[in-house]
Amino acid sequence: MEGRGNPAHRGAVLKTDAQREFAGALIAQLPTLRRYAVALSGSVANGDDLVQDCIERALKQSDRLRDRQKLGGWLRSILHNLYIDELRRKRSRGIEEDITELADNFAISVPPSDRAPFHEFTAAMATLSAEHREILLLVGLDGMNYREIAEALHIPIGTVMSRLARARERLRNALESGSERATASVASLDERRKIRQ
Amino acid sequence: MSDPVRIPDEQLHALIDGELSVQEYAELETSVAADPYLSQRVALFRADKARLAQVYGPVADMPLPEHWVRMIENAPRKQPLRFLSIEAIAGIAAAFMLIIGGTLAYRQSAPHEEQIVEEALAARNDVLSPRQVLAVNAPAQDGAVSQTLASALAMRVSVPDLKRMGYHLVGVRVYGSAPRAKGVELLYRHKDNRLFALYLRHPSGPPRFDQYKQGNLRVCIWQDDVLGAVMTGEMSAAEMQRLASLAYTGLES
Repeated sequence: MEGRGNPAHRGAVLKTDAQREFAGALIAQLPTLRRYAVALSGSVANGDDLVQDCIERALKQSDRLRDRQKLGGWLRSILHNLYIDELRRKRSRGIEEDITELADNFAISVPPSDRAPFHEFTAAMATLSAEHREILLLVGLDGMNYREIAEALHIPIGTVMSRLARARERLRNALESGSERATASVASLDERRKIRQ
Repeated sequence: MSDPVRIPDEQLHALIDGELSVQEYAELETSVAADPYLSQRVALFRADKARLAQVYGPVADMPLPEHWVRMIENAPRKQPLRFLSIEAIAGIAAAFMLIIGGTLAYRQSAPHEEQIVEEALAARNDVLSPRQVLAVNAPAQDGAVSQTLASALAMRVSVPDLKRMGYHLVGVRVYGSAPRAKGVELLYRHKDNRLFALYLRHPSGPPRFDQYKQGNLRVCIWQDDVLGAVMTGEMSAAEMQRLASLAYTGLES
């Protein structure tokens, strides 16, 4: 019989199903959420802390989400707010993040021969504002189109386009100045070697 | 000797991100291919985008910490979460439409574009009578035009300079009198005599960016929370996209 005729029992089953559904959907989002968090914060450790806080907040506020299709955007939005709060706290405490250290976190999993451009890229990303990093990641990593981003960030599509253009320009400039510094440093090393010889 | 057409960066990125129609893509790709500087620029941006995915992509394949999964699976919830299925949403929408359908039926007989577009087309076709007309014969009048624009729209907006694409401002017309319902039409003339009209007013609907063709006329609507712009002219989709981008960014400069 399984108590099918009992409305109270039906309610209990529905509740469990809804909870399971939410838990499953949330777990399925974790890999891409973590990727976004790590790229945004610049390190695996910081990214994981953000994801952990984001999960806690999402579980507390789960009743506010009405449309499962928007779960990914909702989680990213929570995570982004947590990140901005964290940045403000660090700024007020005067803590500066070490870009080199952040870049090293990623380079560990990359073959030594490929580490230089990898290093330059993560260092260049770290010089951008959170707003610029966010838009680069939404387009380049999460594969969202401009209209989806405009809806997710509550900004006009024209702002998405201009913000993305500025972000890519700044990333390019940072990469180019990074390469120049690297070339200058190699040249300086060569000079020192010549002097020693 | 004609000047090369400047392509705004926004358009280059739209090209890279696949945000253009097939026709726009083909036209812009051809323009980029013909310009070594632009080709190199696009190649670098594409490489940066690919590098981004290459650098951070593998993070999604890392094993998840088990305590995250346990925390989610064991979490007590104050309220059960009920997602609305697509069918449920469709059902609610259908019921809603049935209820309001009767009262709105008269509107269905004549489908129309939103107010700002109708006004822009009426202004362009001289169906609307302007309240004020300002002919622009010399660059010295730019100050007067900016003042007219700011006064009519009650906001700080610059007059876009479209000379880079061969369009010169030739006239300004102001429509309407009620606050927040005033519209301003900036008329630009191309050296080949084509007319480009930029109609501005407070937004009459939600944010949008799209364009379509009506007869020979291409219509582009770019509306955000603060300002609505409708651009009309006889031109290709790619030219309109570039012109729209230049005009829209020029409003803020």
